[in-house]
This record gives sequence, C-alpha cells and structure tokens, in this order.
Amino acid sequence: MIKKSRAYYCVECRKCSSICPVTRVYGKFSPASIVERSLVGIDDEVLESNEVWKCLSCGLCHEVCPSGVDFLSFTREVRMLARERGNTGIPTHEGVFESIEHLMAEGEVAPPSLEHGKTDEDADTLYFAGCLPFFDTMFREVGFNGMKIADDVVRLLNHYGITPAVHYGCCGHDALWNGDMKLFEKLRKKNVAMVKERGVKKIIFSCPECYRTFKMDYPEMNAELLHISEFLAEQKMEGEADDREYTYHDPCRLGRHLGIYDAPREVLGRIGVEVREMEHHHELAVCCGTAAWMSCDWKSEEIRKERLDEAEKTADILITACPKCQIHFKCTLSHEKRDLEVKDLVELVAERIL
Amino acid sequence: MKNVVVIGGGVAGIQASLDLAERGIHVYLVEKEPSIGGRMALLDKTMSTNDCSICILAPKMNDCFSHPNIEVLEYSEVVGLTGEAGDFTVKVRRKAKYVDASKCTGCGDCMEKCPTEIPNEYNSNLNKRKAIYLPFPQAVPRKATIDEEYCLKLTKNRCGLCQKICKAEAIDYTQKDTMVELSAAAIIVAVGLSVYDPRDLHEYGYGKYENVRTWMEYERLINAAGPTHGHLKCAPDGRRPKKIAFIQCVGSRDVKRCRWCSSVCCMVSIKSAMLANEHYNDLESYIFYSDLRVFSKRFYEYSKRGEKDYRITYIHARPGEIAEDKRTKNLTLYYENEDEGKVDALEVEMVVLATPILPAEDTVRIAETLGLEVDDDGFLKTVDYLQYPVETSKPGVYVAGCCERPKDITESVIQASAAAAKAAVLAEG
Repeated sequence: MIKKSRAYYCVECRKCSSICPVTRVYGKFSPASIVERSLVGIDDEVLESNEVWKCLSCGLCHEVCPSGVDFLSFTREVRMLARERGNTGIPTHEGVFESIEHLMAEGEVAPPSLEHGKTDEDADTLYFAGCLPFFDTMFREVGFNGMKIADDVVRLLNHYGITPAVHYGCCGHDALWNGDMKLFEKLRKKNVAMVKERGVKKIIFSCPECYRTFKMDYPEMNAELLHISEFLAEQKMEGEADDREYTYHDPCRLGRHLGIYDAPREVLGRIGVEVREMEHHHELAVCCGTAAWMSCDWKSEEIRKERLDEAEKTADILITACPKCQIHFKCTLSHEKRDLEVKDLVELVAERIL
Repeated sequence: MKNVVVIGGGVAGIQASLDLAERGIHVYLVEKEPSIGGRMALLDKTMSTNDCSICILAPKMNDCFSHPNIEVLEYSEVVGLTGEAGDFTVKVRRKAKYVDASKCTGCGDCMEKCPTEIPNEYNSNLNKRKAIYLPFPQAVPRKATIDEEYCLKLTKNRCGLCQKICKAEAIDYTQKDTMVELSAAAIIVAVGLSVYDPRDLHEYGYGKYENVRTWMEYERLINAAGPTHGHLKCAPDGRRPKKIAFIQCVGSRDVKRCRWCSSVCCMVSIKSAMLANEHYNDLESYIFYSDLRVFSKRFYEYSKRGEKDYRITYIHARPGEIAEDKRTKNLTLYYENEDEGKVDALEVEMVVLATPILPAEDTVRIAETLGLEVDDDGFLKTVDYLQYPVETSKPGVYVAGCCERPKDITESVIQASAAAAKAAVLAEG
C-alpha cells in the first residue's frame, strides 16, 4: 500500500496539509501526518481513529504534491484496513444509503417513468442514471429534483437523435471509497454483466462519481464512456445571454480525478452563459464538503459555507455537474438564506435549448 | 597552436576564454546576445559574500573583449559543425545588428529617440526597452543593436529616426546576416540556463497576483540598474514591503515538473532576504523551505547569519496556497504549522518564488547541431559524472556552467577552468 501510493516519496513539505480543506476547518486532520505516521508502520491509533474517515478524497493534496504521493489510493486502502478492525466511520443519514447500496447489489431497481424523455431498452447507447431516484426521494425536502435531471438528460439525448436505454443502480463508488471491497466487487460485477448483457456501445453519465468508477475502477469496461457535459460539448447548440451571472463548480471527480474542466464550460459558453470564475476553480476548486455519504458534521458545513461564500460573491447562479454537489449545497441553502441559486448543468442546457 | 571555440559568453565562457588566452591559445567566443556577460551580469549580488555581481564580472568582460587572443563574436549563433577533435570547423551565423560596430560609440542618442518600446527581457520584462538598444548599461561591446523584429524601419519602412540622430553615421539598415567558418581544435559549450515559469502552479497565483515574483524578477527589482532603481515596490500603490515571504522548491523537486534540486535557490533566497533587510532595516523575511540545502563552503554560517542579523525566519513548510486581498494586494500564505498541527496564515506584501534553473531554451538545438547527448532533464550529458565531469559525449567538445546542471558561480568558474585545461591539451597538441 505504501509503495503503491508512492508514500515513500513524501518529502514532508506539508504542502498537502496546507491546502486540505479538512485540515483548515478541523485542525487535527492532516494528510501529511497520516502519511508520515504510516511510514513508520500503520498503527492502531490511525486505524481506530475517526481521522481516517475525515478525508473527502477531493484530491487537492495530490494536485499540489510535488512528490506525486497518491493520497487517494492511500486513503482507500487505510479505510479497508480500518473496516477490517470494525472501524466503519460515521455514515451520514443514519447509513440509509449504505443499506440502499446493499439492496441494489442484490436486486434490481424498478425503473421509474420519466415525464417527457423517450427511452428504448434495446438501444446501443445507455444512460447510466445511478442513484437519482433514491436521491430524489430523500432530498425533495431540500429542493433537489433528481428525476428532473434524469428526464433532462434523456430529453437532451432525444434532441440530438438518440433514444437511449436507461439504467438505475449503484456503481459502487461509495463502497469503494469507504473501504468496503466486498460490496464494491458485487456491484462492479453486476454492472459489468449488465453492460455485457445489454450489449451497449456507449454509456452516458450525469453523475461524475458513476463516471469515474466505470472509467477508472472497472478495468474490464470497454464501452465508450462519456459524461453528459462531454457529449453536449460535441453537439451544435446556441443560446442567448440573460442578465444573470453564472459560476461553475468543478466537482472533484469530474475535475481533479478525470481532468475534465473544459467541456462543461464549453457547453455553458455555447448556450450564451459567460462563466465567472470563483476564487478557487479548475484544479484548485474546493470540494462541496462531503463525499461517499461519510462524516458530515458542522465542520463539513463550514467547508460548504466557504464554497457558497465564494459563489455568492461571484454570481447569482451556481452551476454544478454533479447531483451530489447539488444536494450538499442545497442542504445548506435550505437552512441558510442566501442570494444564490444552485442548478445542474443539464437542467440549464435543457431550459435554454429545448 | 590551434584555436578553441567557446560557445556562450556568460561567466563560464568568459573564464574558459581567459584561461585559454592567457596560455597563448587563440579563442573565438560566440555569444548569442549583443553583449557578453550572461546571467551573472543581471544578478545583483553574489553569495556568500554579498559582493556586487557586475562589479566582479565587468572587468572580466572587458579583459575578455580586449584580449589580443580572444575574438568575441557577439550576436552570433553556431549553426553547424564538421570534423573531429583536433580539427573541427564551426559554422557561425553573425546576425545583422544594422549598426556598424566600427563607428558606433555607444552614446545612446539613438535609444532616446527610438519610438518603439518592447518588453525588456534583460529586466525580466518588468519594464520596456527600445527597438535599438544596449542590453544593460555595462554591455560589452558597448555597441547598439537594432531588433529587426520590432524596428519600424525594418518592418514597415517607416521612422528612420536613429539614422538621422546618429552623429557617428553608424546606422546601416542594409546589413545582412553573414556566415563565418571557424577552425578549432576543441569546443567548449557554456550556453547557460533559463528559469522555470511558475504560472502552472495555480496555487501560488504567479501572473495573476502582482506582488508574487520569481527570484529572477526580484534580482532585477533589488538591482540599482533595474527597473525600480533598486527600490522594492509593491502593487497597487508602489509602497515598499515590510514583510516578504520566500517559497523554496517552486517547480523543482517536483515529479510533475522539474525533478531536480536546483541547488542554488536556498542560498539565493537567503541572499535576497539579506539584501531586502540591508535596504530597509525593519524589513522581515520568511523563508518557507522543504530542506535548507546550504552545503557549500561557509553556506551554513551564512544561513545562520541571516537568522541572527537580517530578521530572517525559516519555516519548514511548503505553503499550499496564496490568497490575495483584492484591495491592498497583500498576500496571505497558508501553511501547516508542524509543531501545533494546524494551518497557519501569514500576511505579507511580497512573495518571491524560488523557481528552478532549466537548460537554456536553445540547448536542444545546440546539442543537435554539435551532435551532443542531453540527459533526461535536458541538460548536456557528460561522459562520467565522477571521472570526466567536463567531457561531453563527443570527443573534443567540453562543457561548463549551468547547461550541464544547475550550479552557482563558483562551481561554474571551476568547471570552466577545467574545460579550458582539457581544451588546451588539444589546441597545443
């Protein structure tokens, strides 16, 4: 694990800890000191602490690390070891999402019907809609409309001549990042079999986490994989500017994990939206504060608020390309009045061109 | 007795030329800029004695130019090589300066009148120079050069003011590049360095925050011949800084950028911080380091002296990020306080980034022209680092200075003398 993550190459410059959003609000957590301590030998203190569950796996540390230490894979592996010891962290929402992931590993999700989008179960393009129906149910109260995102994606695909098949289900992202390899493997095998059975050639994602997982953590996946922003960036579209100001939040998975910064901005530009950048953007964008439904507390809320402060200073509307980022931001907005609206990229594109 | 061709007229090239010339060997010194002097001519002070850099170099530049055994071919580049050790033919393009060097007195009237201003690369682009110019006040030879890329007469057939004003009638717009062939028994390559542009380390905001500078820019800012006449000034109002932070290893010892330690930066930053304090004795400096590499003779003592006498604080951390106050343009550095295990913030007026030394831009071109091997990092390769530290992969071609790897002035001079000694064997044989 130490070798794989290049932890040996750490020069103890502590740049990672200086930029880590968790270190900034939480103090005690520090990527550098976990790596340093682990080099001596992973001790009980690390494996039994809540510290290992604090990391957002946002990748900022890796972005600035001069030695190329892969703190992300390091975190994943430390969590596996911690889980073996029975240290499973404090999941958010009383662990309901973990239960849902387990259910999805065993059975199928009855596909909910879309309001407008046309689908075709035999198509060779698949839209992998992930957990949107569950999120939709869980987060209606904070104003998150997951099925509208799914519907908008399908409508946009329809607009460009594609009638896709749609699959709802868990990609295993959260299990993987929470060190639950057993669950992850189940979900991975299930999804790989599903894709094979359907015989699809192309898979489109609206969730950057599903996209990252299929692309980087399913080594046997050979279908063409695209985030919806990448698909849209290839299409012809136009729109007109309005008098509101927009900014774009780079989701960690889409940005730092996969290096996709331009496609969403390109799409926004084409529909007449001039993106005003926040203080932190592209490679240095700050996380929405929670990942893999783990360790959400008032400190995470602090990270979120800092991000929303940046957005509010910059624009009227915050565009995200990740349903989870949207949920987290809307959660904060639901109990804190701000002069800011949060929207998904596909929602805005659908509004402008359909 | 045969000739030696020295390529590059920085301190290494000058030293090698002088050593050879003193032994009675004829040297052609080929320099791509209009003046010899190289990087050292642009530095303010030298370490670890804080002597004036140009004051040490200028006499050597003049000795070199006026030495009966040295012919300086300034504003020239090597374009071809044939033959072998003991009997090379070096092809050199002498670029047109559009000024008759035998007539130009270096009075500077033309530069005053020239209407075309362009960024001054000799001042790290911090101010402007004219299209007809001297690279710096102590230039050798002190002869004007017209920049054909920007001169209105040469590009648009307008203006012609310099010709009208020149009392010596030295301006000649019809000059053309000429080719010369030089015979040489040996060649010494000393083509120098360039400096990393840290724009891609977005976390430090170079290029975006006005008060974030590179060490090379700082050298010019603190230099009396520089764009601010040696006064440190900060945006937005030109006030002088009271606190400066220096960040080490910005782009160096970095697997995504330059893997190597640039070897001089720790000392450069300590020197820079000392100079700042010499200019303004209430000024405090903070040097953020990963390892303070002060290994050469008296370097460690120098670093201690900085702490004791020059208000320097050394902090073991690489800041993760710099934020700028939009109004005051002050900069806040965030870094981990390793004793207390928390992120601290430090507000300063200026940040200086210790960016690494790279091979000069045309190192690859020169290596290809001469048929030399370069190492993985783009520096010229020597046959064996321990036993043959000045021999390139081609017999008869020797190397000196930063084109071989980053090094300080002392080491460059040592290597230059070693290269000269090796070249002399071929020239005398």
